Amino acid sequence: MVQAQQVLWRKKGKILQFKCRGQWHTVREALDRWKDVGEWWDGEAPKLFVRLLTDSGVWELYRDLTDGRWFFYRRYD
Amino acid sequence: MRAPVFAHLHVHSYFSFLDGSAPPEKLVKKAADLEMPAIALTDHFNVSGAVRFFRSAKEAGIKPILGAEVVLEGGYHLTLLATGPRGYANLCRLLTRAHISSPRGNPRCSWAGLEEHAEGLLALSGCRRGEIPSLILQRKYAEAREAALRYKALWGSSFYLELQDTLLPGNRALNRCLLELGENLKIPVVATNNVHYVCRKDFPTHDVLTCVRLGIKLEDVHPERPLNDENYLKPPETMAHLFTFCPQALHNTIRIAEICQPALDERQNFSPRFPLPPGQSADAFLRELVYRGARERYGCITPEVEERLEKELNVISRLGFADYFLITWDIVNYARSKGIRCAGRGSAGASAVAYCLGLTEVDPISRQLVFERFMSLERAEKPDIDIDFDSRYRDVVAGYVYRKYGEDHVAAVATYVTYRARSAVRDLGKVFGYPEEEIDSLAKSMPYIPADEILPALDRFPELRRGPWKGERYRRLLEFCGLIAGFPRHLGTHLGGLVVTGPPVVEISPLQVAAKEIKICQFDRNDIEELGLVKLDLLSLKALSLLEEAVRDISRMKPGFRYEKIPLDDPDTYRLLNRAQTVGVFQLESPAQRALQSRLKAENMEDVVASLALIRPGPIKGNMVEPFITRRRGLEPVSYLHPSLKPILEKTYGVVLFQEQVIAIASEIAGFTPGEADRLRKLMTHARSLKEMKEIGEEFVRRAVSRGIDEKTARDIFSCLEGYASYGFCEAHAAAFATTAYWTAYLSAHYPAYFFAALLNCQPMGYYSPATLANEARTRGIRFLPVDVNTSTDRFTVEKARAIRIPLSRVKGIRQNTVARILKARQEGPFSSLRDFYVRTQTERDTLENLILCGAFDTLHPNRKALLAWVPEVISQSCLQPSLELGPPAGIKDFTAAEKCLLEYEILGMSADTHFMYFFRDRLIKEGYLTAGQAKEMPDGSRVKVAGLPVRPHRPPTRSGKTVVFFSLEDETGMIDVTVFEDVYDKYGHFLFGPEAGPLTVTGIIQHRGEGTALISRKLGPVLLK
Repeated sequence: MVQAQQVLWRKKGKILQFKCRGQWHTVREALDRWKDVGEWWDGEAPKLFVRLLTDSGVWELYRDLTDGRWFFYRRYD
Repeated sequence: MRAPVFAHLHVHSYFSFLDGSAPPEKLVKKAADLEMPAIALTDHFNVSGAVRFFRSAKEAGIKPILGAEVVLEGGYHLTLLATGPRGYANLCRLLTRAHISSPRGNPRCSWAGLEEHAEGLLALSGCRRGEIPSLILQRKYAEAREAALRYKALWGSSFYLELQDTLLPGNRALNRCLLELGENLKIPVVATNNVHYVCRKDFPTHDVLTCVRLGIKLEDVHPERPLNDENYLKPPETMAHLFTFCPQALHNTIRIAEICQPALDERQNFSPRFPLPPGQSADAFLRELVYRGARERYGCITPEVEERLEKELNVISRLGFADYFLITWDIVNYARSKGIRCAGRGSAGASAVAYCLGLTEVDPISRQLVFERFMSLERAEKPDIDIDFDSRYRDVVAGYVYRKYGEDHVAAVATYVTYRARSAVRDLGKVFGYPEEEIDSLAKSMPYIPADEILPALDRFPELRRGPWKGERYRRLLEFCGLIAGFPRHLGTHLGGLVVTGPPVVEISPLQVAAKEIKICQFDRNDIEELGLVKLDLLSLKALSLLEEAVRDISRMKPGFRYEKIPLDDPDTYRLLNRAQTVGVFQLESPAQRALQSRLKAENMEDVVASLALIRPGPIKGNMVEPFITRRRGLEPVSYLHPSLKPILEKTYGVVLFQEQVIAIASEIAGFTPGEADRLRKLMTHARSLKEMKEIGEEFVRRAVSRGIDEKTARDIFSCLEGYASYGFCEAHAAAFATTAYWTAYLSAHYPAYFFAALLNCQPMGYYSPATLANEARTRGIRFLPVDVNTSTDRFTVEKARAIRIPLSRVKGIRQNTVARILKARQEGPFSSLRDFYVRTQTERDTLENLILCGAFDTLHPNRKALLAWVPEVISQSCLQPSLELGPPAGIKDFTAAEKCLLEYEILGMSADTHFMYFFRDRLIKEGYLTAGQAKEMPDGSRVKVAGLPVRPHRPPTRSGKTVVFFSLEDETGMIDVTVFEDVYDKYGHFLFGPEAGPLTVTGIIQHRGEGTALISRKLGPVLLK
């Protein structure tokens, strides 16, 4: 998984911008978010997914809820 | 105090059976801790958690709202809440209709049902599987709108669109649509969290249980598995944060909570009324019947009898239980009118009213039994009259109750089948994907312990020390087993309990169909009692069937024989008891009872009554057995801790043996009223902590001292009661069972063949397997005749006075209609060959082969193996050329005698000729082993080696808390009782319990006590079957 290098938050938990593969993307709208506990019995960390509409298309990122790191999940062209 | 902002209205407890992991009490406590004003319980199609939910809500001071989540015919979910008793009654009716009209285990509500029972119910549109959310998720917006209008038309302002934000994909869009729909159609919205567990950390348990429910492994993907751990009882602040976009949805939870009133009205009287003769009151009619019965029982009514009856009638009348007595009387009358044997048991034996009504056969006045053990004004609880019926006809009696009081007013009581060690290992083992054979082996090794005691048990029980489960690989499974300890898995049927109600039962509890098509309510006996419902215990007692069977056959040979006429002082019967030949005798057959009988030397019925009470955990742990025996036999003087105990304990030689004596002692020594004393007894019975018991003791001592008893004596007396009270027997019950025990002993002494035949016909019953019973019968000189297609019937029958014919019905896998076909065909003449048999009966091949292998054709063709080889030809040729007569192939050597014996064990569960161990005897003799019979003849203290099959090893509670195992070792000469102390058990216990258990060698020391013998083991080992 590619780690999203930086995610900027506004106060009420809304994502403003994120940086992925060296590029900043501005979020126009947070479309959805969901949580997946994954294979908890194997020690997999729970993840919070977000689907974001940006100028460069729709992106899905997720956050590892044990260490707080963000990852790129997929992008819709 | 901050204003409440939210109440959870969509909540599942573990009574959603494998779709919830919280006890109702924990949910309520958490809601109260979070300062919520109310909480709803909405389990799937049931209200089993209702009583506990209401009780705990009352204690916590928050409002309980009762409801359920239902599934509609299209598979859509809907949340329903009762706004009060009317709504609750409609909910019960609706759930009943869904259960009864749908396939078992898959209830569905019809729209017509909703329409009929909507009154008093409030509906929420449900989770994502609700009709409206589901249509929105499928982007069928117009249909969603139509559905919403339909619900609104039915419920009006009592219909709410349910908004949930449990962080699932699409939640945001779904909530936006629901909100818009609500605004457009003027339907209010409400926030819920579809709660399935209390805290986030409980999620794994919920997920594991979901896997059990779905029959899948942890790593399997399934659409019904939860995606995340958000369905916990979220605090109001969290809910407020999630619903900032719609505060109204939060406020509406409070609005609904205010609308809903408690659904269960504690003041409501659910009791049924007995249909009385015109102009009579229940109290007056009961009085009339009781005095009529008293004149029959006592001849003339003495002032003592009158005083007792008046006292009891007064208590019954003041507590309003006259109808209950009349209903029970009516049922017993019905049974007697149909010739169905019945007898009251339990504490009802302490009631002279019950005795005069014919409900019990124990005269409490002559036995000086305290009525308060049964009922008292102080306790004011519903009395429990348990009646045993001949098990063959118990359902006939139950049928009468349904007819008399109406199908709408009667239901069977449920049991909550909960997880214990074995069931938890089996269910969760599959989910965690362990090899089936390992799980099977672990489950079979598991003693009967709670699921949260497995981990310590791995060290405690030797049979668990071996095997892979002690390693890390199993640790997680066993930890999860502990987490689900006591969780209800499904509803079962109580063995005898019927609830009878005044208002229709379907307005008090939903009904559902259990196994055998029995309609059960959704409450267990404790909840029924707490709800104030009347429960009748109509129990099946196989001992009564055994008596009826045996007496019927004996009276054919000896007309006029009736067991009511059996003398209660028959010397042969007491000789049988004293020799401890009591295998099969009701209540007196266990090894401990047999050991007691051989030492007690019973001489009269009182000794039998005492025997029943002595072999109980209470007297054993209280170390009362030895003093009783030695005092009874005059080997030790009878002494009392205080002179005032003499009249109470005289009949039991100074030993506290019966619960009634605990009550009498508390009254006499500490001045408790009889009602208070019984409460003390109950408290002592249920006290589970040392602290509780200490508090009770201090109260006893304080009151005793205030009456002039010195403190040390008071403490000594209490310590006697303390050791006893937890597992004691009530005298009324012991006396009720003693007569039945004596009758069976009489039959065993005088008509052993009839007795054992009846006993085998009533299997399963009692302590021993058919093989052990047959072996015991053989040692008493009774022969067993093999199954024979031309002679055997569908039951064990006595032939030539001392021989018993094994029936066709014993053959493994044989169907009832096959037996009927064989018997019908035989009416036209005996079978002349296997082929003739097959042509005339068309018996299934498996059964045919089993019949051959157990020797059912031996009188026609003695070679079983050759006959077996002939089967394919018999089956094929019989169709093509029915008239062609053939024979079994020649030159095939038959099975050996040992092989035949083994096959008989496998197919019949017993052998006609001998015992399995007989075939090892030559080798065992060479190796120095004695038979059980020989070992019993050895002098006291001899060291012997015996080999045999272990029978019923068990670990009863002991005073020291150490493990002692008792079992019988059986061979062709009978049984010898073996005692295994902890050190030996610790080394060799795995040979007794678990998958390694099998034929056993025991090395030990012979100990004679009275006419009984025990083998005190030093070493156990397997018999090598070579």
